[in-house]
Amino acid sequence: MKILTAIIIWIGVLLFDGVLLPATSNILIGMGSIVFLVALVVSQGLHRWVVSLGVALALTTEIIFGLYLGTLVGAWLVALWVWYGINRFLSLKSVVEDSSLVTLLPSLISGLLVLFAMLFAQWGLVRIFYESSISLSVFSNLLTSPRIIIIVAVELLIVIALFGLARNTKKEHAYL
Amino acid sequence: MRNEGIVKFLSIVSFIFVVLILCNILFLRVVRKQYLPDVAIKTTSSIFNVSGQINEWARYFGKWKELARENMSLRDITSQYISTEATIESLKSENDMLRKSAGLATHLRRQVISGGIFNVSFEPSGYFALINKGSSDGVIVGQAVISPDGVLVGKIVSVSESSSKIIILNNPEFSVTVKVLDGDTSGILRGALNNGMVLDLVTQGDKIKEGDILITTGDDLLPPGLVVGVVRHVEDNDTQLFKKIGVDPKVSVKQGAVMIIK
Repeated sequence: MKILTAIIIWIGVLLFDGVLLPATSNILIGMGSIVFLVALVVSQGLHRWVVSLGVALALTTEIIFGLYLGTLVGAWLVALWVWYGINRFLSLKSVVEDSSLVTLLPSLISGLLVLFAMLFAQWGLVRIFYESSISLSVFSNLLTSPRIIIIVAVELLIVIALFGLARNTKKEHAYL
Repeated sequence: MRNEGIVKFLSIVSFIFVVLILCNILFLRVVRKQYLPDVAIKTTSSIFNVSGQINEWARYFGKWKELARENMSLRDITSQYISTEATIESLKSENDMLRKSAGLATHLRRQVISGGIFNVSFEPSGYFALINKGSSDGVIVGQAVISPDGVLVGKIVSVSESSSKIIILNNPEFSVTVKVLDGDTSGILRGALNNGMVLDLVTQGDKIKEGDILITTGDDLLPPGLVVGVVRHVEDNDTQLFKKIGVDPKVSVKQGAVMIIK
């Protein structure tokens, strides 16, 4: 069920980020898939199904959007390692465990950290293996753009909240 | 969170990913450079994206299919060449035959028909052969059959529309009047199955020796001047009226080209 929920959210994020947002505004970020993956690990924690589902969805995204093969999957694995590293030093509770604002904010901050690590990893993989990518200066300019950071942070927050909401709805159904 | 389990799992997934991506890149690069240098130039930038890769794989398969098709067409061409070669060989043989026929026809001052023996039977009842020319080609009973070199093989004994039966020299029923080449001695040559032929009616006073060549006299239906055989042995016996003479046929009958003298 949680896998199905995650897939539905993934489709929703892709539609929102790729279709609705560009259609209704001038925002053309296109980081929906990365935001979703980060939100997945931040909200659900590090589990086998999260890893597997992330790999499957990342690969699907690569095929659908014609990305460099393996770059998103590789970035996803890097993100998981980063998340694992963060969790070793900080005791973060996932949104699934506690979806209150107290956990939401640290989740968002750590999620942004993971997201930037993932973006950097993807850029690096393209640069190393495929010899074709934007220069580091352009890439750093993109990452430090306040507009992009705000949009990505809002998207991440929404997706994490969606995961939390889905979890809470299920809990309520369980109580009833 | 089960740290150990998930770390192990994550490590395995990461390892698999690294291996796959390296294999993908290395394999594509090596194969591309080796087999598709034109693709390597054209799609250097796009080769590593998914659509580019799928396209490239499809091109590999396309290339293989193309090679298979090329292989099939080459086989067809080879078959055609073999067939053409066989035809040329046959035409060459036919041409040789026609040249010889023309030469023989001039030499014999008679028309000849080219044909071929397709069956030889050496049965106790007699030696016969079948040729691929019949009444539709103008063959009639009694005509002489000779080798391309002009040596007598036998004569026609029966004719059907598309084939004819030859009685071979060795057959006891075969007989022909012959004489010694460059000599006056003549006699009647008869078939003697495995013993070749025997020359009859040569008196003790006639001059004949081993190694003499016998040719047709033309006193019967067969044309004169055809080489028939070589004297193998001569047995003189004063108590007998005629000499006993063994003769070897000049040609051994087998499947192949022959000519019929009209």
